[in-house]
Amino acid sequence: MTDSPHGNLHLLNDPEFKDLASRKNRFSLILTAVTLGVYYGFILLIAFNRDVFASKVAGNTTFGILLGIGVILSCWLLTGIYVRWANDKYDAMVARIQEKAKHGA
Amino acid sequence: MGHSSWVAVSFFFVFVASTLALTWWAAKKTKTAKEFYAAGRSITGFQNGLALAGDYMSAASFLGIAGLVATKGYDGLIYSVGFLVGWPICMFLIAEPLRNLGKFTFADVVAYRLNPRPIRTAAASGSILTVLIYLTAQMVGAGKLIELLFKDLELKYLHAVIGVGILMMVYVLFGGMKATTWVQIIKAVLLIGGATVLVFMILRHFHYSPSELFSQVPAEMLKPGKKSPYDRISLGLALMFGTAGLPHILMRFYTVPDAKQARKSVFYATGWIGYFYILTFTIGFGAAVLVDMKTTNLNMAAPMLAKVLGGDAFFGFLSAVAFATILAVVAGLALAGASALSHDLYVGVIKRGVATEQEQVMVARVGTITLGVLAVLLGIVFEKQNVAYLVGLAFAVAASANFPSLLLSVVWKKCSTAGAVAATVTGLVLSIGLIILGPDVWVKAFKYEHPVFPLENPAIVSIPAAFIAGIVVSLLTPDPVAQAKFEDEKLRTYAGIGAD
Repeated sequence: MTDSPHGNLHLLNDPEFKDLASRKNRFSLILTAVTLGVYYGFILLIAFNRDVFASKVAGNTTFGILLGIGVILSCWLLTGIYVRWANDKYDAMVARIQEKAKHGA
Repeated sequence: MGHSSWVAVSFFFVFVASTLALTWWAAKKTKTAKEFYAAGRSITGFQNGLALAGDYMSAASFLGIAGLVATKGYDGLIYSVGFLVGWPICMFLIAEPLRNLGKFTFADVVAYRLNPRPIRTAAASGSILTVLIYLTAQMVGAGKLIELLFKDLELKYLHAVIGVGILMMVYVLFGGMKATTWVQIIKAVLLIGGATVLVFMILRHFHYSPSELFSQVPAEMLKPGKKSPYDRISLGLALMFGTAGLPHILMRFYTVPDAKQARKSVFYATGWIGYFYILTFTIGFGAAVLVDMKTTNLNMAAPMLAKVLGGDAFFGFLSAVAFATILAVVAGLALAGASALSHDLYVGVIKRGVATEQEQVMVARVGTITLGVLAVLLGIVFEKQNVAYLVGLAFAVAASANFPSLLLSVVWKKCSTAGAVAATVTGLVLSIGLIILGPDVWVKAFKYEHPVFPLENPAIVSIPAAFIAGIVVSLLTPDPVAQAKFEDEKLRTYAGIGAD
């Protein structure tokens, strides 16, 4: 990956490159929105319904504890989804563009 | 000297001896600037994930959050969740472009297509300020903690601060990023391992039934406290976007070979840190039940619980781990501060980017010594400051001054030099100004009756203001050259073509 971008500017108009960039942007934005939604859902619930947090769900374990663990796990899950997508789909697209850059196609 | 002190001191010596041996090994491989700042980009995604966790999980978050949960209950848990949610954001928006566009610092990314000297001056100011505030928090925390943990040895605050400063300088000066990385990895394993054992002991005590543990926690502690929603949202914003603006965290993405490993490292880091926070608040609730928190210092909740459940030996072990935790974090901070001082200000601004390899490494070491001395002095001067408050301040500055200009320059074609500088300056001035005018400084320190700014955390105002300043000024000062370069930049941002 030492090729300079400058010799490859024609690739900017390559449909495959444009597709790669727009897919990456879309996927990143969706996941960012989901993360914001999960976290601010949590914060708003704290702000407007304190009592629900102390309600017992599993034995004496409360809803609030499980929700906290849930938010933490969903953050990890979201990063996992992104890595999965990037490894499966994105890297293949990147490899094709890099190949084109090498051969000056 | 008590039994626990012997255990703590032995563990401590084993840790120091092994990390110094490691530094000696790393020193042989630390000759160039790339090796000094970025460990020669030889760290794998998995290793970097652990190192990121080691860089991020400070003593403030371990002892502080456990103590907060032990005394305030659910509010402490809310804090720990907030510290985690910045990681996915960092991954989706920042990690890969950062790795593809930069060399050693996040200022490299902002300066990539803009006018480097004003950008580096502004970005380095934001970095250095964030690092200094965070470093002060860690040094004060270190001094206090060591005083408490090694009470029998009569170690004084001053000695502790100087000791931490010297050890940190040895790691960074000789071993650079390579030694720092491995110190952080070892610390992460010790801390996560120690916390896991402690949680296992708690569960054993309650017959492996979390339900039995929570049945003994007072009901009021399982509810969020009464706090204004604006305060909560503002703090949430600072924690969420602060992570993606912390220079010592961002710098770690340059230690891996490419963007793929960078994203992998965030996945591992998020997993480790999330697991660690679940352990931490469990420890807090355990301490709320098993430790008499009325007679215990808030920061000592976790170590005292270790003493109750695991005896003196385990208390000693956990004390030594807490000390290792502090060292790993301050080493990372010193390296980040030194890179802003040497790579951005000296090489980038004063020498206009032209410096020999030898000169670069030399100024990096001078920068490290400067940071180390500053850290010790700040630790001494601000001995009485509240640590948690300083950490919150560092996150607010990082989220307001560093994150907006970084994001704008990466995603927005029309971002201009003046715009990026305006975003940084607005974020910096507003975050610090509003904290001074807010309840923590204006009322508690200056003793005025009412705060001028009502919230404890300025992020809800300072982050949007920084973005607006960046956008408005960019539109007023269009920069055709930078816009043309944005197109070139894309190949590097998205496909890593031409990445260092």
